[in-house]
Amino acid sequence: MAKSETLSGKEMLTEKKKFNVFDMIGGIFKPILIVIIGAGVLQALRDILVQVGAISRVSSSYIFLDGLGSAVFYFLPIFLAISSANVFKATPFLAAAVAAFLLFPSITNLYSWANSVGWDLTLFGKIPITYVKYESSVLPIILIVFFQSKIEPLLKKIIPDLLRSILFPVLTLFITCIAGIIILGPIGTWLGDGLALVITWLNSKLPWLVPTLVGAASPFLVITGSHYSLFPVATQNLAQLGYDTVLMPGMMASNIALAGASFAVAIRAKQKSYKSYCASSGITSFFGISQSSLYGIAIPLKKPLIASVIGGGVAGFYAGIMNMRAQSFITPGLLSLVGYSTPTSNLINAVICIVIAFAATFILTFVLGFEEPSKETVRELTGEPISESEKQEIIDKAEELEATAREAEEALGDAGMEVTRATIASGASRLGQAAGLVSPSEEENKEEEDQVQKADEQEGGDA
Amino acid sequence: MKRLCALLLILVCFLGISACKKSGEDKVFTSYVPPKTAAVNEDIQVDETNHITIVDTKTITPNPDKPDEKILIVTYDWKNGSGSQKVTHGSFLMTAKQDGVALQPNLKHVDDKFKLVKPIQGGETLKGIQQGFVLLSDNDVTLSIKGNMLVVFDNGVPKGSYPVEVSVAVN
Repeated sequence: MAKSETLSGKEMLTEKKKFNVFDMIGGIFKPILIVIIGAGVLQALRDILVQVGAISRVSSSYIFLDGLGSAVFYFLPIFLAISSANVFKATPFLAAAVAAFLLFPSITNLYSWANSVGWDLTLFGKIPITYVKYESSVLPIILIVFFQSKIEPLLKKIIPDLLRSILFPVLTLFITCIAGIIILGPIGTWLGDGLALVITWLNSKLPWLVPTLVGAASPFLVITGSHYSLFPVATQNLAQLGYDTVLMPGMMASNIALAGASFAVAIRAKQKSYKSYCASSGITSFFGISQSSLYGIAIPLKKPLIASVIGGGVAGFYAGIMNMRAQSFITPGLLSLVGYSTPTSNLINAVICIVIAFAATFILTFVLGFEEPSKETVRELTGEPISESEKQEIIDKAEELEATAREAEEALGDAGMEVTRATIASGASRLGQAAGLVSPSEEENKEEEDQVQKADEQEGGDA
Repeated sequence: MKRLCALLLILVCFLGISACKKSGEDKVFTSYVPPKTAAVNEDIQVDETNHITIVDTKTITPNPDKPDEKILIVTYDWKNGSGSQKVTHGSFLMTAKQDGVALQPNLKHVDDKFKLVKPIQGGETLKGIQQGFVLLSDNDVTLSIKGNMLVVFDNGVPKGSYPVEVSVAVN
């Protein structure tokens, strides 16, 4: 068998070493990007219709249209749970059940109520539970499913076979959910709270630095869900000062940078379907919905991510030194230019910031280059079915393998026959000797023994 | 076969849409429409079943060494107008804003915070519930009380629900 097809233990270890966090995130997000891009386009459409005055935010049409786009992001942990379970080799539907528990309306309402009135939530009256916004969250469910993948083998070992069908799902769900709400879920919130404190402090000391950092680090903030922690800071700024400099300018720079990376990849990519995917992702990123660019392009290809970080950082730096001010909370993208409309210089700076973010990232992505993903990966991303020619190729390969397997089977059959024949001959000879009918010569004896030994060896080798 | 299925689907859709045709009178959906604003000591119906009356508001300074740290204590009565046992959680939610900024809740200085989780039978009133909010300035505070309706039908038109707002002075 060819060396490339099987891995030895040493090679497997080497393969394990190659595994990195980007591959893991890519693996988790790849299967769900098709829904993210669909929902992203619908959200962009919703925003455009609101901006042009075609629908009102309180109308039922808005509620339906918003639901179409936002439901995917609201229930994102469920999608992530299934894909994470496939990556970490946990049971996918148990992982989905854990995510469903976190998003269950009674649970989310309880969290929201406790957070609003200042009630300290506890479990069994003793264990404190930290408030976490699980809707649209990313990091908590990935950590929780990783934990699930570690306890499942332990439980399988401990639980007797007879009770496994009942106790395994019960204990997995119970232990994972409890560990999730007490420890694993809040980790993202603690990170986010710490980040909000640092950003608020930095904003008071070096205000120009904050949009630079947010512009550069937004992809990582989005991955961990920490950007949600900056929303209250931005809201407070908008309410108290009438403008925000902390979150919106940097996020806008980052989203446009991801759009630039997506379009550069779309131009340089060779596969048609991937080109189309990148162009669609670029469009949604222009409107501030950048998940498909981030998880389908920047993270898996790595170099476009580096380009986005640099491009977003440079544009964020420009926003910082020009003291760009967002006067309303609009999804950070092209449409958010409305929020920079006064004074005119602010709007001009916002346009320049967009141009810098797009151009810098676009050029950098071209310069740095990238390794195009495999056909299989692209197919997974786009949800495209396999073509007739590819189908035929797979059938041909399967037929070839089947023929090889048949030949091996026949060879094995022949060897088996030889062994049986030798065994019978040897048995008959011994029987003859025992009955005194035959007196074998030494040569015959030796020949028989050799034959049996040879046949045994052959049988052992085939096995 | 595929065409036949498609035709059947179109027929089913057509019949479904035809069934929605007006037959005589228009069907008008109605629901309780809460007021946008209300005042202290007023019976405020926040949704189909829950009534709130804000009976008192007071400002306290818990730490005499820090006179700038002030807390607004809001005292209110809640009538559970439903037919079943309820707690405040899931029935209504009171939050506060000052100058457009959400105020941090604080239950350290209220008389009995467990009233917030005390079950009340349908039709009964729980008096003297208190909530506290950390003030940011001496400006008026806007209390928002949201019932548990997701959608309201205003003259037959479905709209997203909204909280009733009550403005209170910081004394």
